Amino acid sequence: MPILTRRHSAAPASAPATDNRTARLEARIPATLKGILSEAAGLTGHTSVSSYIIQTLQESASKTVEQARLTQLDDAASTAFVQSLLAPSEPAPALQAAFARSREQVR
Amino acid sequence: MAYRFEPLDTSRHDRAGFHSAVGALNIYLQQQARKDVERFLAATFVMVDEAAPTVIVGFYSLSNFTIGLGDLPANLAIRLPRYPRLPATLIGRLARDERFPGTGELLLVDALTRAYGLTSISGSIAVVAEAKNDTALRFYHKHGFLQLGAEPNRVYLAMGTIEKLVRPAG
Repeated sequence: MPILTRRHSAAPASAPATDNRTARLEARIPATLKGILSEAAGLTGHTSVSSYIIQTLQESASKTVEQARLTQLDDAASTAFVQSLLAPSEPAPALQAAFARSREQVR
Repeated sequence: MAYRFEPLDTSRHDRAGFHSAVGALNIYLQQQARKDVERFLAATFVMVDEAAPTVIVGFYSLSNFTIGLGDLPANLAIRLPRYPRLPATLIGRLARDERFPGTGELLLVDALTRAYGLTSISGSIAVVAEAKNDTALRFYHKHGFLQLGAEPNRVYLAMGTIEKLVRPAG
């Protein structure tokens, strides 16, 4: 199990326009994984395991955050989606019942 | 029994006492929700029983969402302005306490009603929801949500359908 700690370095009294603050991230990982990371770092031309991990994590995290706020539809899905917007379906019976119950029980 | 909804207020609402079936959602409410509100990332609303207003029966969070479109056939393309990206509203999280079965649909109704109300301020063509497990996915499908694109756990309901419930014609 990874053990994560995170500490913010103290921000300067008047913070500069660009945020140069750093934070520390430590993780305990199996020795075999460390070996694999070293090998991958070398294969991708990184001079250290840290720089490899930082770049890889940054790319992965950015993708995760973006996907959490966006869905990209392909052409077929776009057509089906737009059709459903232009002719919205009647509400499902369960949802109609839920709205009726809400009018009774929620102020 | 009368419920009401309030914006999450950590000085009054008992977050530690909240236990839904999904641990990640409990942790979100207890550790992350208030920070997301402060950073304008997501708004969290809690449902309480008027008789015990510190007890969180359930909660949901809303934020903005974007749906990217591919190419449309000409007959559809002329009916929509050429927006390659459409605005929507995301129910990022929705959970009820295990002690209050059956209240999930009341959370959903409030989230949909609130999302519809927001369209008079900022456009939104659908409500998107993120189902954390199969139980949640069945819940959304039962209430008329359809799968959004290729991601099986992401579903949506057209704002036009919600309007029929919030503002019934005639």
